Amino acid sequence: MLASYFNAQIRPRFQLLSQDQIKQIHLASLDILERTGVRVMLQEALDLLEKAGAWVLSENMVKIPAHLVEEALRSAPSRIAIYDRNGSPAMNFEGFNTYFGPGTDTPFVMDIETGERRPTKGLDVSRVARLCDALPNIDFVASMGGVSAEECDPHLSDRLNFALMLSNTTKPILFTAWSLEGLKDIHRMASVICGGQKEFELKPFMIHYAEPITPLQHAPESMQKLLFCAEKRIPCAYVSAPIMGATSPATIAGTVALQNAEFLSGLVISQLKRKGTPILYGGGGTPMDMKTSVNIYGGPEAFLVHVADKEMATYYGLPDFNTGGCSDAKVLDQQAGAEASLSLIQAGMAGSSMVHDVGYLESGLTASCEMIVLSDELIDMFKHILKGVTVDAESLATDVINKVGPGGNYLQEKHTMRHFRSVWYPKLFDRANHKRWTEGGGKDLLKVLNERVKTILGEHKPEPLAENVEEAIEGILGSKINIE
Amino acid sequence: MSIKEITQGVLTFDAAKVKELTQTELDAGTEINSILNDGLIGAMDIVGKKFSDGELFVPEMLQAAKAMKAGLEVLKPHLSSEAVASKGTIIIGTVKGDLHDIGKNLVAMMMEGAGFDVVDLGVDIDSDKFVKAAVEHNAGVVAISALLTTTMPAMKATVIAVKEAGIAAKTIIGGAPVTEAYADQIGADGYSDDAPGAVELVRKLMAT
Repeated sequence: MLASYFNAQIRPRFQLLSQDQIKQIHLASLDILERTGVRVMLQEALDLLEKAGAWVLSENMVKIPAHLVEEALRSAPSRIAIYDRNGSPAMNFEGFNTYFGPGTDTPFVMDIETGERRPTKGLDVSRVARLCDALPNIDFVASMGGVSAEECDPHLSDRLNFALMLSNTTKPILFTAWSLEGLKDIHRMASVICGGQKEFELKPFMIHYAEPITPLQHAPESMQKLLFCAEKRIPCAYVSAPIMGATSPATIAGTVALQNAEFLSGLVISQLKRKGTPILYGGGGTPMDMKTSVNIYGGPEAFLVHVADKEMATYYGLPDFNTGGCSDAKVLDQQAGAEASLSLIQAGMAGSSMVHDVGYLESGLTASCEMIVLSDELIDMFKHILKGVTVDAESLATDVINKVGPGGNYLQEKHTMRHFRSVWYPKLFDRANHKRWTEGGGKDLLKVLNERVKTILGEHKPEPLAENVEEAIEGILGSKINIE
Repeated sequence: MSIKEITQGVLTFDAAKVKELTQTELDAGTEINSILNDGLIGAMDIVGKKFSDGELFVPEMLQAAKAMKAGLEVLKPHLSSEAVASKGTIIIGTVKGDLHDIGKNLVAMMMEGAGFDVVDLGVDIDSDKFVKAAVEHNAGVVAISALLTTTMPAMKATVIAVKEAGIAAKTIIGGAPVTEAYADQIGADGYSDDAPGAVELVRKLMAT
């Protein structure tokens, strides 16, 4: 018998732009690069561009011809394989594989004991790393918070943040660096972990995050970092964050075209430095709130810009960088829950490769462990949704329907035995009836999340660094890693 | 009658109209102070209140300021030093090592709209430049901006430099990672967490 159906490989996705719209945005970015140009504030980058055929003008202005963009897109890899600290495969940035993790460098944190918002310190970096190490739906770690000025010289704290993460997780690390020197030291630490530069190139476990300054400017440090990452093949997310109406046009298409031009110029520079170096596409673009002048994080425009960005990345055949699990709310309240959900749906349905900022409150100024745990639960649910629906003889079950007939039930059927466990069950969301819920303490979700954070932090012991590795890292740091 | 039309021109963001009407009033011999205070500055006071009340948004406030400035440019050559519109001079810039400026630019634009003379030094400005400008322009306030946490120590250096220069200028700081606590810690005279607040702060400081 030949069946009239087959199992297709389909992943549910949100479609926003038409192919023509995507092409139009791409062409607009080429126009920006040739007509308006970008400011590149590093001589080495200017020389690379000029040698390749770009027009370098006065005051660090560069106009980039389309063919350089096309060549860069051809050589930039369409997949980036990321490993963990032990060299095991961890994340494959390709197609619509979607991975999630926290954001970086929040100045404040919601204290898990007092519930108060306070300035961040080293303890918070360790906690977030350990929490993410334990959570099944968080795929990478970032320094969401940072060591304080009292604990470490602010110019060196990027290295210590990295070392704290290294010793609290084996998962891949998204990291930032304050300067080229910081990046070099972190790269040295990574080489110790991997056992050498070639080993690192073959199995990178970290991704660097650098930014141009919108509109259309590549600052000296950003250029130094981008070039160093290219040289050492450190996967790099070179991502701008336009503020619609302030540093980019007040329209979504204009914002995407502008940020796209910024990324493409960064891409050209990275590929000229080293062909094939891995780079992640991304942007953000949220409006300036024109009543308060604040840069907002959530809302429908964020949704639209991020999905549009992913569709540009797909058009280019590049992995991308997105945000999710974040909110403008000051505390983990209903707004935070709603915005976490909406932003994770956006990133998951877009199919973005690397979704960061999970756990961000207050538009990225405050870190929340509870928000990470909430997001872990939500991601678990979305993963289930994104598995889609199987339609075949077994799942259509018409023979079973026929057997049970009108008015029967399915509880004792073998078919039910085979499939009932595939339904999603929450770990944290409550579905009990009122009496049972009250007997359990009548807790609202924030309390449940807080308890879960404390339980995980109390129980979970991440795999420690080998002694000789820890010593080598501390050698590069110039101090002990453990500062608590 | 026409002074009311000048005010309307500002409130409808019509720079060309404001320029034309101001010239007309000037030519007709109307008292300059009246045109200035009732027509132009009065209009911006209304704009300021509408903005605080949430009726007008930032871009509209900036367009109104543009229209007001068009009128002011017509009056400037005729103003005596006592009738000068400026409520005081502010030096503003982003600290050394930092190239971010959108917040600073917005604050500068709003301060100008509020009637202050603003000298915008730009980005990546070291303490000496801030002090030099404050001395040269006899500034009432030095406003310092930073986005990068690593450049915040440069804010402290600038605040100290201004104090040690022995001038009357007050210092205010702002930027995403900056806090009131940090402002107190480094001895700044004020802090604001958004642009409208910065204008209010400067109004208060200039009055003392």
